[in-house]
Amino acid sequence: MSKTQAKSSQRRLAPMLRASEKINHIFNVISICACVVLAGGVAVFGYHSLGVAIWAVGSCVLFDWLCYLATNTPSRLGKSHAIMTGLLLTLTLPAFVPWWVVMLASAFAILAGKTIFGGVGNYIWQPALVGRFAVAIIVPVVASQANINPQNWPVLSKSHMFFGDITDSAPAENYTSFSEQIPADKANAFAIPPVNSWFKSLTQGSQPKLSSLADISGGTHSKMPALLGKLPPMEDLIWGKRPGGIGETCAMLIMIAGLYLVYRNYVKIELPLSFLLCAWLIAAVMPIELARPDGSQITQSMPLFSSGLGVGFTYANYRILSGSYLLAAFFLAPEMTTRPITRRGQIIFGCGCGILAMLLDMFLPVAIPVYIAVLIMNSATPLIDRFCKPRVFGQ
Amino acid sequence: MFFRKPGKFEGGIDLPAENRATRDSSVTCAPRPAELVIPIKQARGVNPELWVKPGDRVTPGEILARDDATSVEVISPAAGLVSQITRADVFAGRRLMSSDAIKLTDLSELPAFKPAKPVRDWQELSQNNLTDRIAESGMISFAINPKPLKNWLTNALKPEVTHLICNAVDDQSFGTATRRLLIEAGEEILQGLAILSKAIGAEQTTIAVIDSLSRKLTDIEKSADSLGVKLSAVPRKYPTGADNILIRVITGHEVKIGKSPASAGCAVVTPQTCRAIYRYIACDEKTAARIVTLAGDRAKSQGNFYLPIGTVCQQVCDTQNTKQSIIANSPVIGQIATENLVVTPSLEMLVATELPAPTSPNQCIRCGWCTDHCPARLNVAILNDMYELCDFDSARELGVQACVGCGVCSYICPAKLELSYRMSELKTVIAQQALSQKAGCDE
Repeated sequence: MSKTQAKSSQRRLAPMLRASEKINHIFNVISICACVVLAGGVAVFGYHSLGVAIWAVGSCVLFDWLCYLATNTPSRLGKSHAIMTGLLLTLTLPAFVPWWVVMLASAFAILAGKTIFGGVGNYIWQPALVGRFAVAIIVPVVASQANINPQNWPVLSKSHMFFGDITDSAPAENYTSFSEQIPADKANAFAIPPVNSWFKSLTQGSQPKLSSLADISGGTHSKMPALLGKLPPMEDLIWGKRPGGIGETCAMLIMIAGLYLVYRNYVKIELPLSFLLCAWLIAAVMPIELARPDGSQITQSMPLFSSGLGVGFTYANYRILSGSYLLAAFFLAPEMTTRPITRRGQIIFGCGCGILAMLLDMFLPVAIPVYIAVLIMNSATPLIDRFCKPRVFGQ
Repeated sequence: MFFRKPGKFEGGIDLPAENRATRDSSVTCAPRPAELVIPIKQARGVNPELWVKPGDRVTPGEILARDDATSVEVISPAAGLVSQITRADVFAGRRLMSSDAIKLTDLSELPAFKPAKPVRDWQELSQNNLTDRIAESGMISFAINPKPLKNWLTNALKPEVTHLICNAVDDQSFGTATRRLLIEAGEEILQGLAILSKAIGAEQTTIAVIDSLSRKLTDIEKSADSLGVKLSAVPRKYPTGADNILIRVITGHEVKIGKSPASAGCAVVTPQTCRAIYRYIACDEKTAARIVTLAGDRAKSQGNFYLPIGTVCQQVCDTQNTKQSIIANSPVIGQIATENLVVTPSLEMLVATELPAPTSPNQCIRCGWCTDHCPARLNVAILNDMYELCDFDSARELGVQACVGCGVCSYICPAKLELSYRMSELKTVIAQQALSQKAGCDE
């Protein structure tokens, strides 16, 4: 007896004691952080977003379980990864999507994003983004809303936060800020154009709609409005009171939850920093097109300097805060399996994401430019890993 | 400050310092053992031949076995009767190996931990005289990976070696043996270090300790000064105590991949080796015992014990409870003790504890923590891929030979992969390939 006992104990390899962190702990902590961001979405977009979350998590877990059943493999990590994928998928979707779209996205996320490659640790694209990408192509309704003006997206009004119905929305003319407005026709929500739709006219389309970045002269000399005059105040963007995906809007909560992930060493700070910095720089230097008072077109080459540094800075800040950059930088791009391993590789990866995302956002009419940029850089990860070798001790 | 400010290294982790129970308990002798099982092969690469046969009576210090190639001698720690030749397990080179062993019974005159009177002034001996005496001592070094002192000396006498470092860094969770030895026999260690320094003609001699211990060593400062030994306090970050890392921290030089410390101009010894050298040169006394820390919540008595070589570990720890395990050496790099495991120069501590149930490894999710914390700056996550693909050439290109075997990667891996073991397997295969290639070229 003692001999077999000795043999079995010998098979145990060093180290005998290990750090307590496990893979499912990592997934669970990321899920909890995603729930914090989701809470912000629930406040601004109402109970519909909670419904989207339940559908997404439920169908991700269901498809995951079916995959394990079909492939006859034991699920050693439990449901933690499916729950995390479902929650991250929820954060990228708008609150008004119907349940079948959520289910379709979950199916793509789990089947095409994860299981096809062999499950956790093997996939090359962030699964939640694969799901989001698939529905953006298959069901363009995600990018619009059928019953109101497709250009406009809803945000609950101040008196209807948390419990309002997002689909009961009415267009709000001359919307300036969240706190000063009363929704028309006693509707629960405003239907307003997303903030970044104003930016589209700066770089895309034939006819510029804006005269300048900011109307410094107090000007009435132009028929065209100035950009910053049409945008909601910065605090609305920071608290997330703007149209967008459920988890994309609340910059404050994304940063708090994201910095907690940095503190836990699940995210290296270099990646989100290089991501946001590069996106900011591209926004600050890429040329924009404005209209002259007579209606003709003029190209400003460096928006950061052309109307003064203060206006340039504000313009670039609005750019960063009005898209889904923060969510992608803190939650989607640093997904462990799909980002490079070394610190230097992650900086390259972050820069690539930021540059690509801002360029796609500015110059191509795509619905989800930031997510597509992350997916493209995910594909480049093995290449980056190959070229970023740390200097080995004694080399 | 008297203590020199040391350099730093990237990577590494803060291991929990679970040494409160033993760090203030002075070195004592264990109760008299009923028998000693002295393995004749105590290090890798030595093959001593038996000099005694069952039925012989031996005295303390008598040679039991000797290897003529490396002039390693196995000596008897006590007087007793050779009752039989049996087998014993030895911890060497981070693994257990089995060896022939001599069972001694009817013991008397067991070694005790007490100061000895020097019989001669070693400073009168010339360098050549010292070198010859150390080479002839037949000792092996008291280190995790023990080596014959003669081999160590050949390496240290290379002309590029100018710096002698005594590695007195207790960076492991439970170990306090080095700490107690420095506090209680610091003078002897300094003398031994000075002897070695003179023998190899080192220009600089440093003894490295953890910074928290450096405050307790004020009474040896003066003699260190007079002997020309620098004291250096290093931060308590695991694995500062790995020889290659310590050289980096103290001198700023890095040991070349797959080379010995001599390539960085350094030679490294442990305090117990220094003490044994001092006892041999100055007191004409051969050391056949070492200080072992007994620790862990399931140990019958925790503390630092002066145990003769050949003490059976299970008898020291007195394990009746089958639930608990004894870990030979620190829990990060050690092995589970078998019932035949005996005390040898490489055994620093025995930790008796109830181990958590082994977790089955998962798929690597490429969190990159192993790469972040590797003190050798290896990309462990990629090397793990190489291991799974058996791609040894790429692994060699990535420098896997630089691995110091500290076990940090396995310790922090959230997937509970046996990364450290995999790296050592890669190293073994690559070393074998290099050997066979060399043999092919020679033919």
